[in-house]
Amino acid sequence: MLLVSNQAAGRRGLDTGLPMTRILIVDDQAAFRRQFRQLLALAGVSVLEAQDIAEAEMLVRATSLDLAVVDLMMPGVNGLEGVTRLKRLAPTLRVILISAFRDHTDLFRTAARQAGAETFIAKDDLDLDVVRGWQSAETRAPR
Amino acid sequence: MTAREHLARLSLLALTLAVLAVIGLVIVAQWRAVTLDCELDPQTGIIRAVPQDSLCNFAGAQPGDVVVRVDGVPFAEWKNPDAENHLFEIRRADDTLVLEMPFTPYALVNLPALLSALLVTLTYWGVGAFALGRRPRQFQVRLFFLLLQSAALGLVFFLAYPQSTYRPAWMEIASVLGLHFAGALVLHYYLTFPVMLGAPRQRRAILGLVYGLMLVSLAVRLGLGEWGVRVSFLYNTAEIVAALLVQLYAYARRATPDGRRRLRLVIFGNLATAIPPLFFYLIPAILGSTERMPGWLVGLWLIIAPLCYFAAMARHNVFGIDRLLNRTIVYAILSFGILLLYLGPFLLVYRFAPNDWLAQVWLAAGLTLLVGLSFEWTRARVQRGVDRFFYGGWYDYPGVVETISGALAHCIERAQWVEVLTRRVPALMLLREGKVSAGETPPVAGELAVPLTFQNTIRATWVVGARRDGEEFGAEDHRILTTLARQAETALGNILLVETLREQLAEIRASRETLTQAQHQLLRSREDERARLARDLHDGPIQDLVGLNMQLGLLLADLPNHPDQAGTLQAMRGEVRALLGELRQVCVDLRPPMLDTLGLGAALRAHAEEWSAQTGVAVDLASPPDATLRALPSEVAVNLYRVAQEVLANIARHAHARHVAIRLARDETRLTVTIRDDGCGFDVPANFDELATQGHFGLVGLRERVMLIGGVCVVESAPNAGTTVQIAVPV
Repeated sequence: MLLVSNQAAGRRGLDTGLPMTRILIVDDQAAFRRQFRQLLALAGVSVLEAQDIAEAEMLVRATSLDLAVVDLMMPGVNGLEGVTRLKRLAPTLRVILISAFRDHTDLFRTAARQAGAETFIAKDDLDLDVVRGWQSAETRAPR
Repeated sequence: MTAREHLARLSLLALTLAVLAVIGLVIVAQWRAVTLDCELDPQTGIIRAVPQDSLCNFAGAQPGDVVVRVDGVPFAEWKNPDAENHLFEIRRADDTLVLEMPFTPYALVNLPALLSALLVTLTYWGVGAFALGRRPRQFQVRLFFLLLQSAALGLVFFLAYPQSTYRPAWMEIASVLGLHFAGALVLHYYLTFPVMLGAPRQRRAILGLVYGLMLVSLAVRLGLGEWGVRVSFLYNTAEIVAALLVQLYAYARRATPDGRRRLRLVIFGNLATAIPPLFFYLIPAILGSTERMPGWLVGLWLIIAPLCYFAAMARHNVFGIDRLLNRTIVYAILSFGILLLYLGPFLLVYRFAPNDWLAQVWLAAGLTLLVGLSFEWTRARVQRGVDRFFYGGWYDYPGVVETISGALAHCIERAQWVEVLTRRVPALMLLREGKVSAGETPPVAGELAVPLTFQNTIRATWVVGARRDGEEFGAEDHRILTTLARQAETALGNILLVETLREQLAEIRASRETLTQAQHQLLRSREDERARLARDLHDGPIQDLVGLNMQLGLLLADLPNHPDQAGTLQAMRGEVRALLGELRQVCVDLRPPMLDTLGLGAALRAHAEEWSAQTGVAVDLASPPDATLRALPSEVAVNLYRVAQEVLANIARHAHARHVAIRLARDETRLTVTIRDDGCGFDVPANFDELATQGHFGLVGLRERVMLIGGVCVVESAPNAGTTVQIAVPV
């Protein structure tokens, strides 16, 4: 599934004052992708969606992305393995691992970092501030 | 062999040699003693009887003459006679006359008595020694041996010296001792043979009485002269009668049919031996009248009993000792035949061609070849002939029963049993091959069908092949086959029981296997179900709540200027998050998400941390890098995780531990999980199944899980020494 939705951000007229970012959501749950895309749109981010790692790999190859947000619990290749694969395809791509679970986040964060992700964050902690944080980190990060 | 047994054997051997030595002594003594060839009292010099054809009669001696001097020396003082003529000064009535008479060796004068004594004594000695040689350990045989040797010692002097005046005093005593002892032994022997009669205590009491009476009678005999003789004869008579009665009682009431068959000859022999001397010798002697039977005839008569015993041993296997005799006779006949075979032709060659060495060599070679080729054939024929004599039949039937009974007793397989009945019995009984068929089968001509029953049902039919010599089965054959069939039925009973037991065991094994499978299936489906539930929760309600939370977040971001609504939304969001937290916990309990993402190592670490926080027990966990454990099959990972959970739960419940060490180690073939605590420990039973009976159900369930993934589980523990559970799983 491929959907570019930066018009939404324009329509809502939300000016983040930050440069437009292209983010890929990798999650098997369509409802979550839709809701998360709304959140990201508010942050003025251009969003791509993939329902599994294979699709994500295709998008990473085809387009230029700034950030991939990957769900941990997916059927088939899980998020941790997915991070490794995406980083192998695009070493400069920033990846963030998310999950509906939040116990032992330290363990997940360590594992995520070992796999090459920037961090691990529980899905219920995702909000505009977090997304903006990613954006500002991006501006700070050397390209 | 014990020292006592050694001593017993030595004594018996010594006795055998002693009796032989006494017999030799009697011969030498009689040969060296010289006497007139008439009946002369060596004490008084009275000539009691003068045989018609004796030298004394020729010289003119008469019964009643008294020898006064010999060669001028008084008879009482005269010594050192030699076998020459001597001058005897004889007093006849009132006259004194001198006769010239020769001395002769006593053995020659007494030859008939000596020979009959030797015959009787050697028979007693020989039969006793033969029985002892075959069955040296059997108690009854030892008694029998002692009885015969005592009788031999008692009889040898008595018979060898018909005139008591020639018998030295010590011989008289030895004779009396031997006969008295034999009398007591007869009774003792028949109280134990063919069956032990009475209880041990009763037997001891009776034997005490018997031997006590023997001693009394002995004392009376040696102390009271004429009356003593009568009393001792009375004692001997009573004892012989008692022994005969005991034997008849045992025969009629207590012996087995086979025992009776064997005993018949012995009883006949004993009655035939005892009755004439009893009526014609002992009873008259007791009553004080003259004996109606001469002493030598009594002696010869007494030979019947041991000879009957010998025949019974040979023919009816009394004491089970016919086999040696049988084989000995066969080989004696064969040896004699070979000797004749060689001797005849060689004598001819010597007669007609004494110097022809070549002919002799050819003859020897030819005869040797002939003997070699025909030996086995001849031996079989001679054996059959001897068997015919021994057993009245055409095979060695006690041997058949013994061999087949032994073979059947060892059968626990049907095939072995059939082999014994269809191969071994025909081979031993010289029959054509037989067969065993299920149920009832009619026999073919010449064959014999024996139904074999167990618990009143015919289980098989033993079809016995026809006799190889073409004859019909005789009564003896029927009897022996019936005996064997009973043995075969007993063996068949055992085999059927073993077969039933085996079937039951197989059923138990199968049902146990099914049970294990079902248990494993249950464990698997339970895990599957839990995983499915967890996934449904994750994909459904949890995602919905995550979405709701996010929507609320977005709404809150849109309403920065409406504090009332924002407050309501914030509260809603709090509830959503709380609900989310609860659902997550349910999910984690059902199936820890970490297990399927971070792997067993991380999942165990997370669980150990939580457990440690709850229980306050310190936990050390050592494991290889998490990534190396992520590739484990999900079934292995989840079951090991559950096992560790169970062990930690057990420790929390029972161990009172302060410290727990968990160690995961992986090599190329297996993964090992070791959980060691320093708690109170317990006694581990040798058999794992006993854990359930001791109430350690957790450990039993744990083993089931480990078995499900093909692993092994070892529990080591001791009171106050902590517990170590080690699980190894192939990977």
